[in-house]
Amino acid sequence: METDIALKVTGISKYFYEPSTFQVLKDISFEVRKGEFLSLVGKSGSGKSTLLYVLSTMDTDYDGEVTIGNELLTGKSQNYLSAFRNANIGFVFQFHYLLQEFTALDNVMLPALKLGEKTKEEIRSDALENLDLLGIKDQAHKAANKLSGGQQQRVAIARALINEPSIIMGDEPTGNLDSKNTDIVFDIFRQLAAYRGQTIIAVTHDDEFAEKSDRVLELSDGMMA
Amino acid sequence: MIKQTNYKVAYAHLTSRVRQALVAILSVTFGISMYIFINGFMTGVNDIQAELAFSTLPHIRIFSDLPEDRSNQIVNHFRDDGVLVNLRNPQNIQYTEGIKNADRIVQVVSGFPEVTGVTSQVNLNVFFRNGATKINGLLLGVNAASEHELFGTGDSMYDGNWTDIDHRADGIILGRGLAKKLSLATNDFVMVTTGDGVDRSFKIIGILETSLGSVDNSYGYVRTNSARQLISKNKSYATSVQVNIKDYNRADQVVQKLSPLIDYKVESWIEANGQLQAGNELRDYLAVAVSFTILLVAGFGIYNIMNMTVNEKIKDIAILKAMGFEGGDIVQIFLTQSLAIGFVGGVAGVLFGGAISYAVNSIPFDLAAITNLPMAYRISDYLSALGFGMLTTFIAGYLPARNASKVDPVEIIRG
Repeated sequence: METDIALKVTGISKYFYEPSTFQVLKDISFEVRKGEFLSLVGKSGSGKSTLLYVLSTMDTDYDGEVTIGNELLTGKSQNYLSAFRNANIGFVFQFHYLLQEFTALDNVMLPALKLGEKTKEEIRSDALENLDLLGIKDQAHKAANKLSGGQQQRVAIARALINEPSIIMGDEPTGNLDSKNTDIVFDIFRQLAAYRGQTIIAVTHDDEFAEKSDRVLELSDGMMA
Repeated sequence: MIKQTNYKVAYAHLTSRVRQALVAILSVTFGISMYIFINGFMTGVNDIQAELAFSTLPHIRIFSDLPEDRSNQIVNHFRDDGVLVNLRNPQNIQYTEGIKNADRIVQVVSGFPEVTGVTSQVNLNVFFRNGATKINGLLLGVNAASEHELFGTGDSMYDGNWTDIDHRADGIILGRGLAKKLSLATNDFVMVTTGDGVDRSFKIIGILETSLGSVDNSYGYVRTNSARQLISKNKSYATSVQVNIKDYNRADQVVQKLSPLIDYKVESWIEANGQLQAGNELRDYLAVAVSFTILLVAGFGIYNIMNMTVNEKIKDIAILKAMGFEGGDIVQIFLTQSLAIGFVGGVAGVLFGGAISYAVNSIPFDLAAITNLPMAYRISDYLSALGFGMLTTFIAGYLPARNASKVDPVEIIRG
């Protein structure tokens, strides 16, 4: 039973203090199963992105508890959380955020080199495999700033997958893409959840995208609707 | 492997802004080369100053001083309750003048490994006369060989041969200015009158020209025994024994070793000529102050550029942290960049500093005994320049790097 839960949050509350005190998340609790494709939706300012960053372990300034796998992450040190993210969470952001001077391949390899569990050659072949999966193997040796937006987003996804994380988090992963590329990215997520059992949590504005996912969580004024 | 990754990011950052990196490198190069130049120049000036000063001044001088003031012993003797002591007109009586057994002292001093040269002098104030012209001066009875060994006097001969002084009991070598004032030239005779009224005629066998006015205008050199004769002293008599040692900066320490073995006053040049030492030290302080100011400015340059880099690359930092890079990795990435700048700039600065030093060293500067601007080339200056340069870049790079490591990725990624 326990092992079936990928992520669990209980009683998450968070406040913004600038410009005035404002409760952005109000007592949020939910669970995500392994291999589930979850969409977080809501209007601008509903707190959905804020919630995602709490789940991501990057934002530690909240009340309540976050558990990923069987591990309670609330209250752990920054360095511990960094290492945890490196091994267990993959990220895809709206504005792709690649290191512009690095090639697509180098960008993809980076988290695995940091993790340091495999040799450089193994990482290299894994990275090429991932790029191939996303259909951009031919762009592997181009510098990131020479790629189109859709290609960059796919490189970012390949990078998110490199350490085979249990959870992939996306903040508007398709927000910057046209419908063709959006479909490609969605299909990739779909496959990852179905065939690799990886959990997907994506914040999105795109109703079509949300509808096609396994479950939709809607936030409104910091509360689950 | 992880380190390699950090280096790779650092390298990518550096090479993406070649121009800025170059400016930072140049600021280090400039700072370090100026550090080397200023220190080399100041040391050169100190060395030349010492060289000039030690052309008449020995590192250590041994002479007969007034005995120690012992009047306080009498006062202390009566220090009982209710006794008032008034010691009127106490005087220290000097029983002997000069050093009676200079040969023994020369022998003792020569035994020390630090000592490079010893000579005894018989000095007396005299009048040099030629007809109606009478000039007050100093007559030095010297041993030609050891005098030359200490002061290089033989190199300053204007006319004649320095060593001839040992061969002629009636020969005298006069300073050039003195000879001019007396209207005398080589092979003329000069009359020497001592304070006690003893007259003797000497034949001028040489003219000496040093760069020092005091020597040229008032010194006359004769053989030691001739000087002793003039004041009727015994064969081993000397007014002072002069000693040179390997490192003149250690004169005080050598004096401490010599003092217990010798009954006379042993005095280092530092004690006798405090102003020389003070000048040296002040110039050293000046060099340190100037060079550290320059390094500080270079440090600010690096600090500034690294801060700019951190701001420019703040998205990279955020993404690296999101992917699981720790604060220490971020510090390493940015510190590597500033240290690389420091090392390249430092090596270039050492080369450039050497070049500047050489160029300035070649500038003609004709004064006293020097022909060019002085310059010292000390390995230690070059090494410490590189060391301080690296230290400066380390500190100037660490502060922005630490700031970078504290970047909150959420804030940057969410915009």
